[in-house]
Amino acid sequence: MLTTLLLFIPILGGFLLTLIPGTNSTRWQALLLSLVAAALSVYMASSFVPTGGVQFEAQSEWLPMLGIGYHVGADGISMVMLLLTNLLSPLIFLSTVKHDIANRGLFYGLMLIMQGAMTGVFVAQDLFLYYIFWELALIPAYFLVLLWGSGQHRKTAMKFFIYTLVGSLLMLVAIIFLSQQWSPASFDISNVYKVSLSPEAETFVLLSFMLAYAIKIPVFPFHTWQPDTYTQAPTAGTMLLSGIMLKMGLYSMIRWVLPVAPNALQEHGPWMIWLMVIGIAYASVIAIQQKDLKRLFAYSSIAHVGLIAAGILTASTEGLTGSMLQMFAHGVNAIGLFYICAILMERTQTNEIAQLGGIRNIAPWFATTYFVVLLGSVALPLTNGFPGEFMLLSSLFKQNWVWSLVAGSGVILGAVYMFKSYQGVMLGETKVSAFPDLDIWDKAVLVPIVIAIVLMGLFPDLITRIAQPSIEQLLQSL
Amino acid sequence: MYPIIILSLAGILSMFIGAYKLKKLALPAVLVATLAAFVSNFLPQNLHDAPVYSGMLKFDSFAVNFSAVLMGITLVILILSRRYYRDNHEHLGDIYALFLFSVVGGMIMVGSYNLVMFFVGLEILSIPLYILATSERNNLLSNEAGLKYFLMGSFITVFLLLGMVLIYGMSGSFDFGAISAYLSSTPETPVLVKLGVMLIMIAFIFKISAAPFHFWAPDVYQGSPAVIMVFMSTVAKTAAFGGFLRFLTQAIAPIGDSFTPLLAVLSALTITIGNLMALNQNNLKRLLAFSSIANAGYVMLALVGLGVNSSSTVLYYMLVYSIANVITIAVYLTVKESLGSGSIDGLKGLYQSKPLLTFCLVLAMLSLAGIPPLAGFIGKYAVFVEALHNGYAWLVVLAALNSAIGIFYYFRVMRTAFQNAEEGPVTVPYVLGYSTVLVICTLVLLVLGIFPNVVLNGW
Repeated sequence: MLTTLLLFIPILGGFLLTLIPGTNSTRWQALLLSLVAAALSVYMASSFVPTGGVQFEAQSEWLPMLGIGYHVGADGISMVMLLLTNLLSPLIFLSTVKHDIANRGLFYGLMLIMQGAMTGVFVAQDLFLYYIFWELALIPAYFLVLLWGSGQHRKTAMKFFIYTLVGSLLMLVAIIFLSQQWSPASFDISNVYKVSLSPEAETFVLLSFMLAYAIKIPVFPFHTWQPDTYTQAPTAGTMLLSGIMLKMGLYSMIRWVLPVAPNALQEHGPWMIWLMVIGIAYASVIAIQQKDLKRLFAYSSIAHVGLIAAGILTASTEGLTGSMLQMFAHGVNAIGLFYICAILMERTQTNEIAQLGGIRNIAPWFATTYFVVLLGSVALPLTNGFPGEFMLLSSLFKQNWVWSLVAGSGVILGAVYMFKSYQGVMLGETKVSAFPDLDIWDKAVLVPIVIAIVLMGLFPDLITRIAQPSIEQLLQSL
Repeated sequence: MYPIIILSLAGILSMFIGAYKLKKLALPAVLVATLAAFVSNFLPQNLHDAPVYSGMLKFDSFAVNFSAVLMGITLVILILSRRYYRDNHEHLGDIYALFLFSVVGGMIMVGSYNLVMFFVGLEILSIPLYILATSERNNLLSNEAGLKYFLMGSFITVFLLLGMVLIYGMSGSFDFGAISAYLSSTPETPVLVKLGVMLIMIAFIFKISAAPFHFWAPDVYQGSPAVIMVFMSTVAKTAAFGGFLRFLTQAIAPIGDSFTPLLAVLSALTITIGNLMALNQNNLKRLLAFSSIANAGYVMLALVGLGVNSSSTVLYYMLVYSIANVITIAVYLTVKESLGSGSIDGLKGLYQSKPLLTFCLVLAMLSLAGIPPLAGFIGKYAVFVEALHNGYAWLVVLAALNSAIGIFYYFRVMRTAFQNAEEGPVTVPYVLGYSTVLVICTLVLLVLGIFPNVVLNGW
């Protein structure tokens, strides 16, 4: 019941908001709805008993003729993702409240629908239901880029949509194939996990699932839609995309790929990990050359999620635990970084590093928060990026030390471009004429992020405690 | 068969309305009659599992369900027509009568249990459409559309008759049950019967505008008045599918399997042609015509994998497709009135002036494009599964790729509505009837997407 509520409060609320023309109070209504969802998810997490099983389950018939059921629930892995989604969403809403946005009703409605759909992806225990939420999250994202984007956003929105949809369609074929292994067809997670496939069929399922996820995450070489989309989407859209939506792909790898195609993964995993670690180094090298701060963060995001994906594919406890930590950390950091971009854009009308400089001298609050988010992002010990990244690298090292070497070089390069950009924007002589320091709304967004970065760096156990039993159970069942 | 009787009477009366100059009464009276017929359709007395009228009609649940959809969509289209024909004071009663006769023909088709009745139904369905297509008398395109449709249609009728004669000649009966019994008792099907079925199939393929007999559709759809166009692409098509499905499952069920390869190839052809041709269309009606061709191809997937659930799958798909089409045409009509153009660019600025209308259009387009969780996706999924049951994986993959192509043109329509118009937002006059119809249709579309079991339950 709680899961169903968590799912449909944002979706139905969002749907209603899209219908009514926006007024000044729309933003507060949206914020309130997302806060309700956040409170609900915190309550669920606090009453969650960290064992391996699925909790808060709800199950009923939906389309019996096609073998489709409504089945939702959360195990430890889902729980962490629920927390991530529903705690970050209010921050994203909060980041928009001081701006005057055209067509408010539609804007906030779409964001809420997206929040609900992403929650749905994380709680679905039925493969078909999962697919529906997976696609439902895509539609608002498309409209957010199309209607509130900047630059060449029309083209970008189409590219983004077609790119991700083609991946999803192939996944759909694999999903239908999996469901037809049962007679009558069944999409329920328990049956999907029990399917035994021939090696060729398993390879097919693995490849079609992985293609969809590789595009969504995105992993090199399927990343070409990402920098444009992140740069041209409205800030709140970028935050949703990078902070939460890409985790749908990473989470799905854990939830569906590992248990359904373990043997094929053992065969094909190594070259996939190779692609991913090469992608980490590649994205880092490109990030160094970026002149635009938002684009730089977009490429750095490719590097970070590549490491998470590689860690998941090692199918080890360490890799999966690290990926949970790093997914959470990346979500928090990405939102922080893109909000910083938005602040710079708002006050100087540019994100070009060369045109900025010396802001630290006139905006100490901004300088400090930016620096903390940056430290989290480069994975300094005692910040949230460190434990996850450490575990991911270590899991790679245990299987092939060359992987960790290539991936580690990406981490080092990450420090290079992050500090270089900080130097360019914040230090040196002051090039911007005036730069008001953080106002109360900025602080409301950034201070919680800073607290989260430090807190998670000191107590990574907060996350791992919830996820660990489920991860172990999942790996045992392979 | 109550609805057939009610609507036939109402049609005849409606012609008198014209004679007695009671035009204000025409639409309300016709609406009430349709509503009454719709309700009477669900009366338990209406449902007979045995053939009635000397074995001519069989009003089983198949016929009842298809009739319900036919009348439901007609009801909506009639409401839309109010605005469209408000200046046409001359023949209002006749036009509504033709609408009703056409639906009656469709219901006879889906209820027929005899080849003669099947033929009669098809003609009653078609002949009013030929006239209606030309009902914009001062428009050359409309005249051309009607003539084209009539010539092609009557030509195709010859094929249908020849096919019926061949089947009659071999089996000795027009009765579906007798034909079926004959076929199952003959170990080797005579070539003439196969030829006969093939000829009947040609007529069917023409009616649903599937390749290779689709060439008439774009011209006829573009030329006909929008209200007639949507009637042709929804009600007439649904009736044709229902009629053929009936023929396939009741008359030639024993040899139905031997035609699936042919249907599969035609379906692949239809989907591909429809989608590719739609990509470059600028006229909304023409785009819808090609989209309607493509959708006919998707529905044919369900015929390829004929199973117990095929009837409800076809009905669900056609219902969902029809609703989306009606919504699109309703939006088109409001915009057309203010712009006087059928080009997609006419939708520019729609969101600025009419957010609700745009909302309905977006949902319709998303549904047509088959994006979850809208009803169009469930419909596509259901037909894909039907085809997969019969082992046509290549066809399903092709159809899935084609639905990705569909995104391009459906989304183009949608995107245009959000574009800012250069000369300020278009002003669309507010019409009560339209908005109500739109909102109800959109709600039905949403409900059907979330609770597809309402229709999709394999009766």
